[in-house]
Amino acid sequence: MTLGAIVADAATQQKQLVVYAPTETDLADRLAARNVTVDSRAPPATGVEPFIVVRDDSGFLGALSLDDLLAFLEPSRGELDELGALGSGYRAVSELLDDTVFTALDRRQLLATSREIEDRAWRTGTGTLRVGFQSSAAFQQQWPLYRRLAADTDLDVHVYTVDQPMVEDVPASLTFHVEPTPDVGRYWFLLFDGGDDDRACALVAEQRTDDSYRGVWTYDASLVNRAFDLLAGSSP
Amino acid sequence: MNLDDQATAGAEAIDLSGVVPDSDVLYNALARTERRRMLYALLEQPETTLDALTDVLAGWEATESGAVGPVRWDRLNANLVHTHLPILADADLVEYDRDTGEVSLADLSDPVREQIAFARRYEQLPRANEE
Repeated sequence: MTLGAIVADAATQQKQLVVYAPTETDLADRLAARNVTVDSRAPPATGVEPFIVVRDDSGFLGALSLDDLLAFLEPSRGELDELGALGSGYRAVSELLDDTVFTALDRRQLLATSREIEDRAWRTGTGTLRVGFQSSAAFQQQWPLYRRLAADTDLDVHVYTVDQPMVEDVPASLTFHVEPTPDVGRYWFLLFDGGDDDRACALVAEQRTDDSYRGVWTYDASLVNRAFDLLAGSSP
Repeated sequence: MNLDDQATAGAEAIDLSGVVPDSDVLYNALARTERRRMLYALLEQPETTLDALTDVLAGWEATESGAVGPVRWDRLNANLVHTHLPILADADLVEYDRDTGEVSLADLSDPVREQIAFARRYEQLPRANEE
């Protein structure tokens, strides 16, 4: 059993996006890497901003402006304190597209999703955050942020790396797991149990090529719990 | 002077074929944003469904006040079923099949179509209290 099992779980779910816009959009291309279909319709009247409606087999999931969706697909990179600028629109879309299996996302998009989960953990300030870094270089870049996450909040932070990170002044609430399971090198993952806020979320992405990943992110608490269990089960 | 007199007295004849509701009925039908938006959407897409109309109203709302979720959609859907569709149907502007959820635009007369189109243009006028 590995983290990959939750990717398989989520792969069975597909969402439908309907775009209401006066002109053809390139959304179908831009969302081609995800487990969604895209249909286009004419706007309901003149002067209405383009919007999208998201459905799955159970019915309506959400509606939002095309601008909000585009902002989500091309997020600006931000530091922890600037993440609020991404706004509620960003969060709304990431929740709309939760349990979304993606077949090809690049590092930049995964970074933005990671920032979203870190930001959520930061704002919640309690709970457990387990994060896997595929290389110590990747962790080294994020070390200042993770030190703050552990030192400035009541979060219990666990960092999984393939080798010993070269860091000092490690806060007591940050635990390193340096005896890696095969999962640590293979997956880019962040699991947050939601803490007091009970808003769990997880990203699990398996590297396919140098800059291409396949995986899932989810706000489904049961799926997140399963990821925690899978990680614990695959630990030595 | 009624519209028929105008038609004979004016330079241009007004085509009154199609639905011509009583004025109070027509303007009551147009009195609410939800009903106007349904009519605009039906002019664009004359054959649709209750759920598709609810999607449109939810999406339109999302462009004004941010993302709309399922709870709000359910409320919009219920409002259409219990309030707005019956008013539009009683005005003979739309036909609504409760069993199938199908909604279609009636054969509207030209003055009614123009009135609906005017309402949309009016809504789009720049207002001093906006921005």
